[in-house]
Order: sequence, then structure tokens, then C-alpha cells
Amino acid sequence: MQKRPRLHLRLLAALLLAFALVAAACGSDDTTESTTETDTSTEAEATTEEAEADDAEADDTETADDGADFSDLKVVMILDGSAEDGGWNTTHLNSGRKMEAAFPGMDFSYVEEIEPGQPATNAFQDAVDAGADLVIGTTFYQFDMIDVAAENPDVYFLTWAGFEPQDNVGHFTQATEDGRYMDGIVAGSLTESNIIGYPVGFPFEEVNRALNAFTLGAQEVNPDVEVRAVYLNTWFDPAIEQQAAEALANAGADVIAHEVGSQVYATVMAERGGYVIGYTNDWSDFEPEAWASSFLLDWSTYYIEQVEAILADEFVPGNSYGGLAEGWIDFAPYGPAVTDEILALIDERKQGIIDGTFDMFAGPIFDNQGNEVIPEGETIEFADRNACCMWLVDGIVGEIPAE
Amino acid sequence: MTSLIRVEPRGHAGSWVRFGVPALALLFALALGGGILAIAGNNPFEAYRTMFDASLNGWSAMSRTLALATPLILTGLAAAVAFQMRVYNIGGEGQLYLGAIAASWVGLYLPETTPMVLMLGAMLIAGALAGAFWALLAAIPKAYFNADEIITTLMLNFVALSLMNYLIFGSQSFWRDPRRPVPGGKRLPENAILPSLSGRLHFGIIIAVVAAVVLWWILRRTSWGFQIRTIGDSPRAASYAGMSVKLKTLGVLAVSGALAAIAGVSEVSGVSKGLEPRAIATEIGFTGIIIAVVARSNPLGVVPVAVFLAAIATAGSRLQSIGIAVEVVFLLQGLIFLTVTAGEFFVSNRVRFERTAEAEQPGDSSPTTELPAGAT
Repeated sequence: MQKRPRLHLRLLAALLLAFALVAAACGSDDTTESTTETDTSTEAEATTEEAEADDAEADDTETADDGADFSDLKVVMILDGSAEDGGWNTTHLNSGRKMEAAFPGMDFSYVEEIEPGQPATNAFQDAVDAGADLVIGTTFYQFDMIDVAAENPDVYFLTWAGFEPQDNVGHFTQATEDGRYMDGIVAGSLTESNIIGYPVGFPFEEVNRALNAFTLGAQEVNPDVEVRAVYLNTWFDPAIEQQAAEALANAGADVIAHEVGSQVYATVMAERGGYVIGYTNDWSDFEPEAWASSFLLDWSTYYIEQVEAILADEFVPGNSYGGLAEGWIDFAPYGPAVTDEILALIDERKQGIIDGTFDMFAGPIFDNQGNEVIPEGETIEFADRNACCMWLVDGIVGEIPAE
Repeated sequence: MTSLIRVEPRGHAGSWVRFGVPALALLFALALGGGILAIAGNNPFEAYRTMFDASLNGWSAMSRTLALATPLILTGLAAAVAFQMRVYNIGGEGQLYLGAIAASWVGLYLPETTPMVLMLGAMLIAGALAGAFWALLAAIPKAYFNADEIITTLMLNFVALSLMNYLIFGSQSFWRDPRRPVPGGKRLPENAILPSLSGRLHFGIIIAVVAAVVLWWILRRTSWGFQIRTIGDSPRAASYAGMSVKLKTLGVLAVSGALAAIAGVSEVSGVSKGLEPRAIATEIGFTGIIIAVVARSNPLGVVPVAVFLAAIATAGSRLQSIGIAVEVVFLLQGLIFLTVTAGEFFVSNRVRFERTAEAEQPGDSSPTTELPAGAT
């Protein structure tokens, strides 16, 4: 009777040991697996890079007709996220590759995953130390690069949304509204419930301006439309975005236009037979039936102009603000549900913006609190748009979170 | 014939163990990393040369590394002091944000003409108090209601992040610069900026190193430090000896929060020069926890570990610029740090191989297997 518990404990110990061994074996399995994964992803990376390089070469042969050689020119691009994010950073890198193709022999390179703060300052310094003639910062690196730019007056810098004047620094911001207005036209034409969902990131001017332009576009084709804006206070959070998408769909939205990064909206809208409008990314292959439209950004015109100006010694510092007329805005393929009539209207509006004959912000425009924000006969000049808007146009259901 | 692996702590590691093992571990990491680099199609020698040049070779490289190490030393100390008492402050990240918020408020609120010493002193004190306050939000429930500080400090990080984001992105707060196209903080005036020692290296490194020495002295040489360590070893024995575990919990977490917050002051005043959430929220607080663990909660150990980690991290963009894919760069950085820290295990522990036969000698059975008669 007394020996049995001992036996039990022995058995337990043996079981524990066996479990530990299995766990250890599993552990080592995991390690090998993850190593292989890394290897393949590196390979995949290498392949895409090769493919991109091939593309660039193909472009080269198209443009390199004057036989000029730009091998003395070194341009470094600094990206804050992954170059393969399929959005902001990929757009910049592709624009950089177009620039590279326009100047045969140019030494173009990029570094990615550079966080603002000290790592960014170091990356700008590294680019200068490596002999860069031009360094392009594609996110808000204004204060990370300001000292490096001041210490290196012979090197040129471009930095997105910067504003501190420096002789060798160019700032650039995009007129998102030019593209967003067209997306609004598409959304307004597609909605049957007259409710459009619009999950927003953070509430500030550029974001509100795009939302206003979108709503004005939707109202042009569908005066009864209601745009439900939800501020999520994140740029990317699939769980919160999923909730927002479902809540909007439950509230009756049959079109969702988003500016927050994930693909959940497309999934939710596809399930419910609605439509999704992307934000600066061509996701027309993902849930193609639900896909409606998305404006795209193309920075290459700006980059190429700046390089030309630097080569001609005519660089102009300060801010550049560009939209359709400047060639900064492009469009992803439209979805199958968009009618030819709407496509024709979009072309007309695009042409109108380029010619200066169409102004989406022409007054009178009321905000959703009932105030007249732009009186009859007035507008917001293109150059002043950057400072707009801390109000939402009539037709938007939602409020800018309290100040 | 099978053998049993036995791990036992080394009493005192000889100097060949203390320096030889990390050196071997580093060599091992470099060899393994070299293999990965070669497979990825890069030249390992060029890569290591670049790493060395970028972070250690010469004063300008060293100053970069030290600048990056500055906040890491402080958050490492913050975690270390709490670990000494076996209190797990996972909230360094949030306490750092609070320090940055409070210090930038003081820097923007005081007149621009305030003398630099007064201005910086006020910012440091305000930052430290804010961080201590944030830590006390977790320390009081821990001391009086035994609420798990791991959970509370961790959750408070998210609250602090939301607060900082709200101040800059969600509102037209006092901190936010209204003329910026993308939301960001107002610039601090000249006198609110920690003076530069050389290039990007600022006065914060001196604060960090002094903090490490002072903390070491307090823990080793004062009765408060002795009590902290005693409570860490055995809270019951300590309270039996008349030490107040509750008050020490409050005190140690307040000190820990203040140290993490000073890292925030150093970042906001020495680096970002304004409340810039994206530049401040870079997981410096979480990294401090790893540093404290590797340094085995020794304040003087925190300094070299933080510098080592900063040296690995600072080479990142240079490695990319010689054509190494960013994934390989991260893999390499992780591998070196992991291997060297794993080597640390062999400094403090001895591994023995024993024959099973010896281990199972009769009479060797543990007393726990002997149950009192009549138990069944």
C-alpha cells in the first residue's frame, strides 16, 4: 500500500520528462521552420527586386534616347515602412524607379523600415556620408533631417510635408482632394441605400479635406447621399477596422471608402454585395466584384522635376503642392460596376480640374453644423488648400472629435 | 549509457569565463550570421566591416551609438531597479511618454528666456514626477490590493500612448503646433534643449551614466537598497524583520517610473525637440526590460548592455545601403544579440553531463516521494 504512491510519482516524473522531450523537439522544429520561411522570403524579395530591376531596365530603353549618362548622380530614398507595403511606401519606391529610369545610370538606392527619431537622423547622415546628391524622405522626417540638411548645404533634400525653410530642402504634399472627388463620384453613383461609410484615420486638415472632397463628389451625382464618417484614431489596425466595417454595413452602408490601411473593408463589402473604394492603392484584384475605384499617387513627376532643377542648378526650395494638373494623381482600374456614363463624367471633371474650369470648392458650401464656410462666389485657392479643413461639409454624418 | 544534463549556478565565475564566454558567443554569432549573409548573397566580411564602421569605429560612430544608448540605459535602469525587488514594471514605455509630455509642457510653458539650467532642471523634475505618478497608478493597487503590476503597468502603456496621440493628433492642445500640415508638437525653445556634446550626442548620456552609478550606489550601500534586495529575495522574511513591503513597493515603482520618464525627457529635449509621438513611441521602454534582464538587474551592467544593443541597432541603415535586404539586417541584429545574451547564461550557470546510473543510485530518491504513512 505504501509503495504505490511512489510508483505514481515515478510515472508522473517519466511523463513530465517525456513531455519536456516532446516540447523540446517541437521547439527545435519551430526553429527550423522559421529559418526556412525567412530564407524563402528573402529569396522572394530578391526575385521581386530583380523583376523590378528588369522593369526599370525596360523603362530605361524607352527613355534613354539622348545617350546622356547620369552615373555621377546619387539619390537615396528613405522609407519609414516596408517597401513592399502595397501602399504609401511602394508608391514612393515605384515613383523613385521611374525617376531612376528617366536619368540613365543614376545611382538610386533606398533604405526601408526607418523609424522617425534617431534612426531617421542617422539614415539621412548615412546617405550624405555615402555621397548622395539628393536624399528623399517619404514621411514626416522634417525634424529628423533638419540638422543634417543645415550641416550639408551642398546636398539637396526633399521631405514630405516639411515646412521649415532651408535653401537646400524641398517640401511636398499631395492634393488628395483631386483624386478623392472622383472616388466620391463613383461612390455616389453606386450606392442604393444612399449611405456611404467612410472610416477615417486621425482628424486633421488633410484628412478632413479629402473627406469633404469625396462627399462633394458623391453629392454631384447623388444629392441625397449621406456619408458616415468614423474616426478610428489609427492608420492600421485590422481588428478595429473590421468592427468599423461591420458597424457601417449594419447601419446600411453599401459602399465603404476608407483611408485606413487594411483590406477588411473589401471582404465585408464582398460578403454583403456592396462596394469598396481604396486609398492610394490598386487592390482591384482583391475581391474584384466589390472593387469600385481608388485614386493613386505618383510622385515621379515631382522627383524628376527636382532632379532636373538640381542638374540645371536652378533648385527652388520650399513647398510644392500637386494634384491632377501637376501629374501627381493617378487612378487604379475602375471596378466592373462603374458605368460608362460615370467614367465619362469623371474624365470631364479631371479635364476641368486640369484646365482650371472646374472648382470643387466653389461656394456656397455649408458645413454639417449649418454654417456657411465658403460664401457664394468664393473658393479656397489651390495654394491655400493645404490649410483646409477643420470642418466637414453638409451631408457628412459625423463630427471631428472634440478639440 | 545515456547521460543526464544538469544545470547548476556557478558560485563565482572566473575571469576567463566572464570574458571568454561572451567572446566565444560573439564569434559564434558572427560565424552563423556570416553563413546567413552568404546564403543571402552578401559578403559577410564587408557586412561586419560596415557594422563596425557605423557603430564603433572612431568617435563620430561611437557618439551615434551612445546617443541611441542614452534612453535605453535609463529605461534599462527603470526595469532593473524594480526587478531588484521582484516587482515587474512593464510600464516603462508609458512612463517614458508621460515624462516626454510633462517635460515638453514645462519647456513650452516657461518663458523662452528662462536660463537653461533652470529650464532643464524644471523639465527633468516635472518629467520624473509625471513618470513616478504614472507608476504609482499601478503601485498603489499592487501595494494595497495585491493587483498584479505586470498587467496594470502594461495596460497603462496603452493609456499613455492614447493620451500622447490625443494631445497631438486628436486635439488642438497646448503641445500641438497649429501651423503644421501634419500634426506634431511645438518646437522647444533653445534653452529647453539638452546641449550637444558632439554631433548628435547630447548631455543626456551624462545624466544616464550618473543615474546608473547613483542607482548602483543606492542599491549596494544604503539601507533602502539593502531592504529592496532583501524583499526581492524573500518578502515574508523581510516583513518579519520589520520592513514595510507596501511602502517599498510604492517607492521602488516611483523610482522606476521616474527613471523611465527621464528617458522621455532626454528624448524630447535632446532628440525630437518637441512632442513628436512617432519619434518617441519607438519601444524604448520595452527594450529597457530586455536590457535589465540581460544585465541581471545590475545598474552598472545596464550601461554596457544598452551600448551593445545600440551599437547593433545603429548600423541598420548602413547595412541596407550596402545592399543587404532589410529582413537580413533585422535577422542579423537579432541573432547577434540573442547569441551573446544566451552566452550570458553559461557565465552564470555551469552545465554538467552526468550518467543516468549515478543519478538513480539507490537511496538517492528525493524525500518528496516519501509520503506519511496512511496517506492512502
